[in-house]
Amino acid sequence: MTMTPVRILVVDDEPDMEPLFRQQLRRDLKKGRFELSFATSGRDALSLMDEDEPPSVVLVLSDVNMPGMSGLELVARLRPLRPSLTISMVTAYDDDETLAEARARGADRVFSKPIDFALLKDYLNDLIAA
Amino acid sequence: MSKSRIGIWSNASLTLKFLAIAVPLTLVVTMTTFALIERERRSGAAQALDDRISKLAEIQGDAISGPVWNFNQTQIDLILEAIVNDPDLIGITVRDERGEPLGRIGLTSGDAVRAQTAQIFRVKDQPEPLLIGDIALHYTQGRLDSAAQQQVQNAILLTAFMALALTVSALVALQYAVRQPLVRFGKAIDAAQETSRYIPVEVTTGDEIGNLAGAYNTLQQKQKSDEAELRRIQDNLETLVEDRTEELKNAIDTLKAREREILRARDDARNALNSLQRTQDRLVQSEKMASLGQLTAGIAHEIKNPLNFVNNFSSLSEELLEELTDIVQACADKIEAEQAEDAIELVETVSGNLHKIQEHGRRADSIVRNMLLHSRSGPTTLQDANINAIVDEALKLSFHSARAEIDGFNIEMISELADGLPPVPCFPQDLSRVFINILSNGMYATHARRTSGEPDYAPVIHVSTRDTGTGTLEVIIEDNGPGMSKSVIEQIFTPFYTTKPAGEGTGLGLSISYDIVVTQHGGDIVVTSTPGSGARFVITLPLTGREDTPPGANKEPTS
Repeated sequence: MTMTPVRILVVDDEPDMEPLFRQQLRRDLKKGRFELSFATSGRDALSLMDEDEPPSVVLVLSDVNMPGMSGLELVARLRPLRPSLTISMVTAYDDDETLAEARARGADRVFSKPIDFALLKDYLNDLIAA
Repeated sequence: MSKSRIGIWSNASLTLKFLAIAVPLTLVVTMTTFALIERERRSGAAQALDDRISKLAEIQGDAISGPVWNFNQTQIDLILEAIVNDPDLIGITVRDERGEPLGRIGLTSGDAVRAQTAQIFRVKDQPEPLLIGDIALHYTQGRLDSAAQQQVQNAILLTAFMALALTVSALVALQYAVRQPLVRFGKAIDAAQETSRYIPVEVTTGDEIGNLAGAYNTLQQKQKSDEAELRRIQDNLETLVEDRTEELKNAIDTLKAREREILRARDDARNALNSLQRTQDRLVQSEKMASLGQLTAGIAHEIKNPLNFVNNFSSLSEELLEELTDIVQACADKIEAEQAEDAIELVETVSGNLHKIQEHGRRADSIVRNMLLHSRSGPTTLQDANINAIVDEALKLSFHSARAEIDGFNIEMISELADGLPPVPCFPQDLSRVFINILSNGMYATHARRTSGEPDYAPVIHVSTRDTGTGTLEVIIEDNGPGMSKSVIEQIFTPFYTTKPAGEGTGLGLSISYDIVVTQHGGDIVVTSTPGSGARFVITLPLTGREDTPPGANKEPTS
């Protein structure tokens, strides 16, 4: 059964996020279920999405608190460009205000740090199934 | 009538006075008059007697000259006897010209005897009257005296009668002219006095009493008008006094009102100053807490990122080590059994370490979460809440939480929540957190004391609420744990200060509670404790909401 890998863009200013994600999702990656891309800033993420033609990224997982463009700003910019794109936030600032603002700007879900990968994997599975 | 004049005389009636004066006076005057008249009359009578006797002597001298001339003794004696019948005479002596007695009759008493002598002449047959002797008529004034005596007696009788008549007529006159008008006058005055009205005395005569009555009437009228004038003045005075009193009262009221205003203003100013000072204190405290909260929040968030890696990489590594174990076991035949065992043991040790890293990472995460709980902003407006409900719920939650954490935990919970407490404007969730913190600490303390092996120790936690009546409510939480020393109490609200063993407390509970009660609610927490006899927390909450909303209780930067 061949399936087109789901392409996920992880945006975080912490470079260690790439090995963490790659290791945590290594089995799925081996199975070719996901394809991961990483950006360390909002700007990088935007240019990466700009080059994504035809659109292959179905999920953006973005940090909120980043130098330069914040995750919330990124969502606000991306949302009009890709209305059908699923955008979720991963943040240490998971208070009510931030959650509300993220939703208002078009984010679909907010995950808090430290990341509960079991929860995240369930979410990704649901997304693929959809 | 002045008192000093009171006496028999002064008190005697007018009639008596009149009698006392008029009767003796009349008697004296009348009797004196009679005496004088009598004396005059008597001296006249004596003179007349003398004259008559003298005349009688001359006549009898003439009559007796014949017998004397003839010396006819018988005739002489006859004549003498005839003469001596005169009632005034007491004796007669007849002598010749040589003084030889020719006849004598009477003359028994020589004293008080007066005598009138007449010479006896012989005119018949003689060229010239020839002195032939003399005749002496002796007499007394005794008859005169007895007559006078009779006169005096008559006079006295007359006088007495006259005096009586005079007195009676004078009394009658007095009665009609003086006494009756005076009595009428007196009655009129009494009536006027009794009724206090002007009653004029009827003036019927033009005499002194009439004049007196007229004068009295005039006086009374004048007094009446004077009284009216006096009353008018008095009324005026009263009105004036009333007016002035009213004015004074108003002035006093005004002054009092002003004083009250000033006192109120002073109290207001003092309250305002106190409130300002409290607000300032709270602001300073809240600034401190805000910056501390911001710092805490910042640190907490920044720690979350590395924690993310620590926790995830360690759990990942654990998984990887499981895979490695599988690999080692899979190629166990290719290496020596001892080496394989060593390798597996080593992997297990590393795996255990990683497990510990995860565990401590989770602990760090829990600390960070706790720190953030407070710096996270809740609702920004106060809600009216039932303090008893919050306290009761907090008590149950704390108890269940303690039971869940500590095996065999038990405690006697005494809850005395006052009825009819007014709703408290507050942030209910935050207050609940405060009560849970303090209650959990209390329960932890009693548990600590119980496990210290004290015999017969029964843990008790006592919760009560009350209205202080001064615009605040009090929540009092008491435990009978080991209590705290003074130095512990001093630091109890300091962030990160804890007496619990490492890993059991974050040291933030009471610091957060203090911030919630004092900064957020404008209340107060007072702790009293004596080591060995438990601790007592009194949380005071104002019933009037704070005028300003809490400073977002340390809002963290949103991103």
